[in-house]
Amino acid sequence: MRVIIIGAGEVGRSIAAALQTDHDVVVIERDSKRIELLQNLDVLALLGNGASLKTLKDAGADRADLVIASTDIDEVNIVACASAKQLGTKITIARVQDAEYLQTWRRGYLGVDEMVCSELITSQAIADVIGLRGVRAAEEFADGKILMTETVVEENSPLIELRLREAAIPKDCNVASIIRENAVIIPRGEDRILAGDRLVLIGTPEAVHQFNRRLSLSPTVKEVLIIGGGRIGFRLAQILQTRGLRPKLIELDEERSRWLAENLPHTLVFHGDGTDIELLEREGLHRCDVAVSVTGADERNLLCGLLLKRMGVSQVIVRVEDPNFITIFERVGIDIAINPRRLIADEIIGFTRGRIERSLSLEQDRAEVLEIEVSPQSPLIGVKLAQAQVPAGVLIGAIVREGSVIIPRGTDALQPGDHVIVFSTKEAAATIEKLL
Amino acid sequence: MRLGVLAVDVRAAFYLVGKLIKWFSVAFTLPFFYAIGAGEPWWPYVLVGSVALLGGLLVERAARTERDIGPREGFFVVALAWLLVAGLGALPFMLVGVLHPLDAYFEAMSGFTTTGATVIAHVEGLPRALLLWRAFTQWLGGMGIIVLAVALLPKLGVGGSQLMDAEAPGPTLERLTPRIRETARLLWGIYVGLTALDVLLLVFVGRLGWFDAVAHAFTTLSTGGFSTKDSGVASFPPAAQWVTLLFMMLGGLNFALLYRAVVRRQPRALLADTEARFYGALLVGATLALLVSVGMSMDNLRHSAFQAVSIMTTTGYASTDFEQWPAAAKMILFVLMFLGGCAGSTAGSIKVIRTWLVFRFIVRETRHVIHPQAVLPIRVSGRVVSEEIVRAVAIFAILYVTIFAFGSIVLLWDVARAGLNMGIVEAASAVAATLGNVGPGFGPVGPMSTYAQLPETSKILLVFLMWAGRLELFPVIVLFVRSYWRG
Repeated sequence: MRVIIIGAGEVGRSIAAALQTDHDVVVIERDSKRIELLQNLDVLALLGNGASLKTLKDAGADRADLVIASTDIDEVNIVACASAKQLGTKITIARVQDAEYLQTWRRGYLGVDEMVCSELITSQAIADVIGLRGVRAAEEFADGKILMTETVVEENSPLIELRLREAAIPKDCNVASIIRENAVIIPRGEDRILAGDRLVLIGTPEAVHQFNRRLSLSPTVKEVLIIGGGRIGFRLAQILQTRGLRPKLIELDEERSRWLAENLPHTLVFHGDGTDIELLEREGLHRCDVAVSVTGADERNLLCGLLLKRMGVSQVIVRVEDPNFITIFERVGIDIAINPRRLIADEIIGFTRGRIERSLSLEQDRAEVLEIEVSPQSPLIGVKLAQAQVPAGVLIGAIVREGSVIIPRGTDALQPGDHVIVFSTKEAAATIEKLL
Repeated sequence: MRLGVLAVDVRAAFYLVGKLIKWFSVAFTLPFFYAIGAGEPWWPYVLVGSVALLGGLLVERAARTERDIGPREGFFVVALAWLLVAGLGALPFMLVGVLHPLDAYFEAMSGFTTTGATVIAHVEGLPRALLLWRAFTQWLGGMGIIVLAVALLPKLGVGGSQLMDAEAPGPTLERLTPRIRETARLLWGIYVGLTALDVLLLVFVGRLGWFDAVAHAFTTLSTGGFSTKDSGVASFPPAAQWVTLLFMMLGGLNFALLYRAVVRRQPRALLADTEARFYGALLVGATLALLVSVGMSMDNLRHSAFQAVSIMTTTGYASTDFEQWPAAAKMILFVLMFLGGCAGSTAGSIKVIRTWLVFRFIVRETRHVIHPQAVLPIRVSGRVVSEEIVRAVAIFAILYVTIFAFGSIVLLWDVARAGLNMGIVEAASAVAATLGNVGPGFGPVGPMSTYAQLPETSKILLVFLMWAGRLELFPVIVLFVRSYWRG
């Protein structure tokens, strides 16, 4: 497949790195310094404006299968996609930050086939892990019908030392794998849950949340504090409002805080600074269950997060833009660091997988989660899973059949047209992909 | 050319006033034709109509200009037009020979401002054409003479919105259409339609004669309160009182909202509207409170509901002599005088929306003491109200109560000087009833009494209050501010 990526920022580079082995990748970038950063990738780098017809022609947009516009400027991405489409590109994907454009796009054709909105993806990702203290990452499949989470088993978890079959795992939830000391285990009923394990759970959102709550003893979330009322903070507050929560939000800019208060009827908005200890104490904000810091500055988010953690907040989630900081943040005490660019890159890479609708890599690429539509020729069809020749290191986590979710047991069998969410070790991934 | 250093374009203002007065002369055709038909003296209406026509033409000619008016001139035009219209409306009362000039002016101002305070004890003795004129003044004043002029007169479009903003009741004028003229026409259309419906129901359900039905429909929808009977609505059969109650309530609703609910068929708009809901809740609450105060019975239920609606919508009809009610019930009525109907209705007083906003403002400021840094916008019907409007509303309420307090003191001085025995509450009720365009108060100015025995100076004071109250204070108050004239 011939793929053109416009913009070689964090997002563009991650996508290029993920696609370079299987596809012919051309990257268009305006900044010559960023072009140099592409040297170590097996891609063709072009200097130029991705929204100009001439540059697109030079990159071969007329015979490209896919154009991914991933610059930091929404309008450039949209224009670039529209231009590429005009030239004859088969599929275009635009990255946008402002959800307004998403609404415009849904109403009508912009020359963009897929639009991914970072503010929505990020705020949804944060909302998915809110209140799940042990949860390190969460991912939705099949339009939110299936949720996958990676959950740390803490020292005080009541389920420690239990065998999986004794742990009373909810019916609609599957333990897809146990990550223990960098090893990925596809578990059986006899395996025990140990402190420090990370469990990958797949199932309906309700069942996964239910089991997560038992795993990490999180209290039910009532109070959520959001620091920073930018786009992500605003969307997050909206999502929490629809869950019936009444979040609190601190915003530094006076005019913006007024706008937020007007547009978030069930959110209490404070005009102030997230590091203002007096404000936090006077309003009792440090007694919230979850604190989320999503200002535009990584250092500020870290500072607010650590401060609130020190003041006793049990779960602290922060936004981090610099990918190098993710692990550092989590090491110094932040529960979850969320990187919008990483999320958006994963989302876009997911689109390039053809029959595989979504794909995620876990644990530094040692394992993968795939969402695949079962082909009618698959040898697994009609065979009970217990008897089927499923390779070792593979687990069928969930089946979506005609809109409803099935968490398969040994007695279930695949049917043509099923969408399956498959958990697989890196080695087994190619085999199972062929089998399905 | 502007006069000297004045910041107000007096010439353009007079030009418009002349034009308004000229067209106002048409109003006298109604009593004129009725008088001819009924064989009563018709010449007063011809005479006054001619005076208005010629006077208007003269002013219009003398002040002719092409300039448009701004908000400053809008206040002046509206305030002046209302004074002059009341003056012309008073002339028939004098010419027919029933009232001396000040009483006639009081009666006419009470008419156009839809107050309903009267100086005539024995109305059944008046010629019917004059009674019709008296009721008609309220009907014209209810939806507003300026709104009517904008709806009907050509070339009043541009300055028209300035004028309507100054005249229309409520904090903001809700435009139903982009063109102000269309909006004015729609509002008058609903008004005429409701009046016609009221007439039919009063005749066929309430068993009233056509003349009484028309006269009362005029004063019901306008929430005015003049009657053609000495004992007023108390002389009606219960069915006619229920019909009147319903139409007073409609007159106190926002006509723009009624338009959406009825003409555009969105009845849910009524339920979604904060003001309409609060209006309904206040009426129900007031009715129950009155019922508890006067004692439970079917008749008292009707009287309580009728009186709550009549006083709160600032109509001022009495289905019974509420002067005889216990003190608690009278106090409830006194408080209701300050509420009024909805914005964009024909009712007077502070208005329900302002009361609601002031209440929300108090709640907000209280919360602000607890959360000093919280940003707490005030919402009405789910929409955010700008801080400017909240501030303007709070100031209006303060100004209203201040004028009420000073007015009461001045009235008490004046009646004491004249040797009239009037208590604190009675004098306060007279001020509240005229400033809020309600009509009757308590004691000497109670529902079965008149304002006739008040000293002349008091009548001048009350005329001023009716005028200022109907125009919602600011268009009148600014005329007394130096910087308004000097820029």
